[in-house]
Amino acid sequence: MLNQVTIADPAFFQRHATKGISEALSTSRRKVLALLGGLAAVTVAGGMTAYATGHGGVVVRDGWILRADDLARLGLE
Amino acid sequence: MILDAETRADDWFRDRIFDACVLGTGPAGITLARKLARHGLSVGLFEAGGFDLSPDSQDLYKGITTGQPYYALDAARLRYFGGTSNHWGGWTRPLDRYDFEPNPANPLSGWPIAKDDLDRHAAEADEILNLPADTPPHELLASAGSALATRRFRFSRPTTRFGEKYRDELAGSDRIRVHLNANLVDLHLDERRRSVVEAIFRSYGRDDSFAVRARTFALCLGGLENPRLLLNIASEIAAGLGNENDLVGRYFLEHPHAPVGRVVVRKPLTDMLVYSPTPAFMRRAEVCNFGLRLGDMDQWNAGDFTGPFKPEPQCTIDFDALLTDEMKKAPAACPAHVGDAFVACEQTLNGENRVKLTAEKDRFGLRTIELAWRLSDTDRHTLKTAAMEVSRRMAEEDVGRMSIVPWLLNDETPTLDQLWGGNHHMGTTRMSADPKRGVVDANLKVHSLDNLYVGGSSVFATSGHANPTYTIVQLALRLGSHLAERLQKS
Repeated sequence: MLNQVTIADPAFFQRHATKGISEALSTSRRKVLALLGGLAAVTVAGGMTAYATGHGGVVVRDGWILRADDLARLGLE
Repeated sequence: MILDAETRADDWFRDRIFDACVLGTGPAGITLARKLARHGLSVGLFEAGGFDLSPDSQDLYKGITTGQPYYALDAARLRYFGGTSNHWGGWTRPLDRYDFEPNPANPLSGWPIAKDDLDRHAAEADEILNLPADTPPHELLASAGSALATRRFRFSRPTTRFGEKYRDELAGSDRIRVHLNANLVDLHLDERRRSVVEAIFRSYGRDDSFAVRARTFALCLGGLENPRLLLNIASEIAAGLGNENDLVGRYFLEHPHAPVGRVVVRKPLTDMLVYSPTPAFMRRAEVCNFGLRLGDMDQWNAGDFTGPFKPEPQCTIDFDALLTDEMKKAPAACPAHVGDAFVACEQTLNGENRVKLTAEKDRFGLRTIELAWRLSDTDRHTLKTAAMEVSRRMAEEDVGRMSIVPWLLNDETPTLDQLWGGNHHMGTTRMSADPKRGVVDANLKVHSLDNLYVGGSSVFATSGHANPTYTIVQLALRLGSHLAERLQKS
C-alpha cells in the first residue's frame, strides 16, 4: 500500500523523535525547574538548584533529576 | 454493494430515499453504516476517494497551518476507502472516567455524557478493532497512587484498516450501498431550514452533480473536513450549517506529543509504562490529563508493537555505571534498563485554535482550510509537570533517574522535531448540551437541525490523552443505536 511507505506515522515519529532527543540532550546546561507542589528551591554549590522534598531533595544536573546524594557517589561534585 | 460514482446511471438515486446517508468511510462512517444495517435500515455510504490513494482525491486535503509547526494537511489524513485508518498506528485506549468531568484548569471542559454511556459499546469496539483482553498495568513507583495512575494501551493487531477489513462485507450487503468517488459539495435544506433533504455530490471525471435523498444524514469526514463542509455549505445559511453561534471549527484539539527525556531504571523495563495524573493531582497541579510513557521508543513506534519489549540478556552492569554512561550519552550497555520518556497530553480548549476557511477554492468550488494550532500556558505546564512529577518520584524512591529536555526546562517554543501532534484532529464540532458551547448535542445531532448528525473525533468535548480511534468507534456505535431507535419509531 502506497501510504504505508510514504506517510506512515511510526517512521515519521521514529525519525523525528530520535533526532529531537539527541539534539536536545547535546545541550549541556543547568536550568532551574519550575516549582511544583510547593517545593522550596535551595541554591547549592555549583549553581545547581535543589528542591527540598522531605526525602533529601532532588537536584538538576545537566537536565537529569538526581538525588542530592547522587552527586558525591557519581563523582559529580 | 459497492458502486463507482464515475459510472453512475441516471436511475441510481431516482425514487430512492435512504434511511441514512453516511458521508465518509473511515472508522466512524463504516462503523455507523454497519450498525444501522444490522438494525435493518438502508444506508447510502459515500466515499470521496477510490479504493486506493490517488492525487485527484488526496490533493483536496491541501490546506495551510499557522502557529505551532504542524504536518502538511494532505499528509495528516487519507482520502480514500477506509479513510485515515489506512495509516493508523493501532494505539487504543478509552477515555478516563474523569475526562468526562469538568476540569477547573480547562474552562468549558466536561461532556454531556458519561464514560458508562460509551463503555456499553466496549465489547463491540474491541471486536471491530481486533483488540486483546485488557490486562493490569505494570508498576514502577510505590508512591504513585496519590498523584499518578498507571495506564495501559492496547494495540489493534492486525491493525484494523476499515476499508480492507469490511470491503467484502459491504460489497455483499443488501442494505448498505457504497459509492466511491462521490465528493459531497452541498446539502439542501427544507423550507423551514430545519432538515437536510438531499446531499449533492460531484465525481472527478464528470461536470454534472447528483443528488441523494435520505431521512437522516451523518457527516463522518474527519476532524478537519467535518467543520470544513459545514462552513462551506452556505448556499442557504450564510454562516454555514450549525454555525449560529460561531462555533464550527473552533476548539480544535490535538494531543501534543513530545520526547521529554531519557530514563535509567534499576529493574528492567519489560513493558511500556504509562503514567497519568489522578483527578486530585490534576486539580492540585492545575493541569490537564497526560500519559507519560517510559521505555524504548524505537520499539513502541514499530508498526507491530503489542506492549511487551523484546527480552534483553541479563544485565551485569550496576546502576551507577549505567546512569553515568547515559549522562555522558554513551550507548546503552543494557538497553532494558535505559529508555525514553515521552509525553502525549490533553490540550486546553481554546477558541482560537480552529479550522477556518481561506479564500482559495478547490476544484469543486469549496474553500480550503487554514488550521491554527497553538499551545497554551496550561498545555506547557501540563507537559512540564508530567516530566517533573515522574522524574522526581523516580529519584525519591531510588527506582531510577530521568532527564528532562532543555526546551521544556527552559520554557522554549518547541520545533516540529521536538513536539508534534498525533494526527489527532478533535473538538471542531464539539459536543455540548448547550448550543452556545457546542455544535452537536449529546446524541451528536447538530443543534439547529433536525436530521443532521456528526460522527468522529470532531465531536469530542475534550480530548483526554488517549488516542482517539477507540472513542470514535464507541461514539459511532452509540450513534447507530440512537439513530436506529429514532428511525424505527418514526
